[in-house]
Amino acid sequence: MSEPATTGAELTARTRRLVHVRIWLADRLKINELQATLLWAAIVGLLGAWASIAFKEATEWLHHLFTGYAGQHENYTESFRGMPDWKRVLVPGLGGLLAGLTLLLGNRFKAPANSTDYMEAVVVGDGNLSVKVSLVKSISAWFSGASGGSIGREGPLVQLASLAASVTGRRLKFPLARKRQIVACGAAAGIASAYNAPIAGAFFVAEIVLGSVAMEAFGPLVISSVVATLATRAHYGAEAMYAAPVFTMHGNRELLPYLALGLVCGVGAPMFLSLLKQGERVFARLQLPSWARLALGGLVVGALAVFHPEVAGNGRDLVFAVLHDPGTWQTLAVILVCKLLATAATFGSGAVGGVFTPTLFTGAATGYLFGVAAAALLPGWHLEPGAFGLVGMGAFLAAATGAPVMAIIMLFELTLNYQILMPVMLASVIGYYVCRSLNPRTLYGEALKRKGAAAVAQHLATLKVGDLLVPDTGTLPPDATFGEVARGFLQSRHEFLHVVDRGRFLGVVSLHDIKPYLDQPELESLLIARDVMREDFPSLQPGQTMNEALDTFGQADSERLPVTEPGGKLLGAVAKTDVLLFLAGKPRKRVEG
Amino acid sequence: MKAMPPAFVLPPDAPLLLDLEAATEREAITAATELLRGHPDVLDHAAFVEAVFERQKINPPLLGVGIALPHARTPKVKEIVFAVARCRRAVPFGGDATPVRLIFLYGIPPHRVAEHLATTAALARKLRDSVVVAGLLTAEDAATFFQCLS
Repeated sequence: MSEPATTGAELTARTRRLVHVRIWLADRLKINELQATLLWAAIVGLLGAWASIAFKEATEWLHHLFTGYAGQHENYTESFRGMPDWKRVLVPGLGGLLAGLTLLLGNRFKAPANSTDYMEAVVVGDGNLSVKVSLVKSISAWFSGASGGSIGREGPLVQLASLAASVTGRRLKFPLARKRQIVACGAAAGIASAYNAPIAGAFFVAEIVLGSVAMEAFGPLVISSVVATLATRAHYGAEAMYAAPVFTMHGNRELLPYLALGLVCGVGAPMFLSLLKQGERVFARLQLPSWARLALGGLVVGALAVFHPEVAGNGRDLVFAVLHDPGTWQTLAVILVCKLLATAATFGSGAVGGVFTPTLFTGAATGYLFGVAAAALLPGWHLEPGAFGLVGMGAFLAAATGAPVMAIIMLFELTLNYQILMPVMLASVIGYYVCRSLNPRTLYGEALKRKGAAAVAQHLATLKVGDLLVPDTGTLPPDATFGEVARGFLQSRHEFLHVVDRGRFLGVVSLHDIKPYLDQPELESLLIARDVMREDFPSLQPGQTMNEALDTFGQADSERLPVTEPGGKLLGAVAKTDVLLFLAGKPRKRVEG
Repeated sequence: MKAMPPAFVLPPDAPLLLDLEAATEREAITAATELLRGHPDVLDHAAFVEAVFERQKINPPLLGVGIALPHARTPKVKEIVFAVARCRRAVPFGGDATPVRLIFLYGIPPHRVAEHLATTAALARKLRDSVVVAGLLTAEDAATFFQCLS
């Protein structure tokens, strides 16, 4: 009878202290899947940056190999200038051939898919990107890009970064909503590191891919694009991609010609888009196998490069030239026409990549030429054609992509020229409105449509609670002792532990219920989980809709809910964050009645 | 809901048996439950007793100082009900044959989780005190017995 009252040795003082710390933390920090998503977003940002650095390095290496160019940085204008005519024709042709063969080998077992892609990863879908398809496309894009094809690199960069994210999400067995989110983070990381543009990376994905800037979805995008940018800068330095001379405005009336430039870009962008389509149609009419088509596309670029080596490559050097050393307007006009033809040929032939940089150049050249004309018409206004080049880039991008917010931010980040921002905003919005009134389909809208984005959206709309299910981690058997319950709370960060008996959900033990009694080790021998569980806790059914789930979450005040079969069998749990992410990240949700 | 344990005292009208004669755990608990037969808050006496034994089977709630707290969470009671019994001789409880002389039996409706915890914790806290336990073991009558618990 004199035995000390410590039979409950199981609930040791150490455990109790830890549980107290845990409760203290839980009271002050609301930890849920959202914060965990931020952590994964950072990791995905890093992976995405490394993927794109690797791709850039590989492209540079292959470019050296193809052209023998010995310069420090890949500069297609320089390298093509240094080659004899026959080689200028041959290199892009060979690159196209290799790119086509890659596609052919990659698609050996499948029906040949539509190979034109402005930006592959724009459609996040259900967050599962095919490793094989992504790699095949990236390798094909590698050949096309490094051999001087008139093509942007952001396609494969975004593709690889998204692929890294998708693999991560799958490895972690994320439920659908979080997997989509993490792939979107990968895309943001790809763009951020491709253009050294963290803000635009986040906004591009939010605006074009998710169609939402809800904080649940936007926060992780910001984290991953910032991390990706920092990682890229650690490798390449922090310079703006298109550092431009500083332009100043001489008066408010200068906005008038910029406004007119917005109109011109709004009209020009649909023409640019239909030129690309025209290129596709011409090549389709030839009915060649893909390797021959791509080789032909390369040869066309090569033939143009014989006269104007500037047309080779993504056009980065050209954009630079427009901003810094444009030469005469006549030459620029000729180069613009040739570059457009080269771009149409490369894309029409089915090369994989992006049109982002070609779009930038088209905008810059259009803007510059417009500036020259405006300066000639209004000699007293001191207009600088270079400034029009910058504004043209933004306005053209806004019109062609249908994402003016992204375009405005992107232009600022590419050039880091603040002075130009206001005219860019004005012209971008005008360009966007004009373009939309002429041709409601945009660059990425086209790709989204072809990839059945509407079907994906519809599929997502029909998703039910069961699709967000994750295995339930914080569970207890009904006869768990008080000490085991306390330790259960230590091992899980949930406020409620689910009591499960032979697969059946019985109820929950609430941390708040047991909190006042953790100082009493003797309860160990007196109480079991079944004694202190709440049976009136709501649970979800796999067939419920997301909105119904949200209602139930509202009643339960819990971060996760058990999902049970009608018979009471526990299937898993659903996190509130996933439901919120799902509702926030639903792609281009139709306006509801 | 921050339910701090209320300053709990056993209701002074809880049925009490000071000189229980029992040889086994089952006999002792049955005798204690008999004190609640006909209690207005016990809806189904047999089912209530069944629930108590069901709970005993999983792990008999013992305080280690000769005290058993058999309890059941069951819809067969409307309110929290108590019965207290003191055995003349120690009765072996559970697999370890822990000798038990004081039995505090209670039944609690399922949704009263907070009170279940508070009741158990308050009883355990009170009975941790060896002076209290000694007083309970030597109390001459019900009044003295409950006095020790207040």
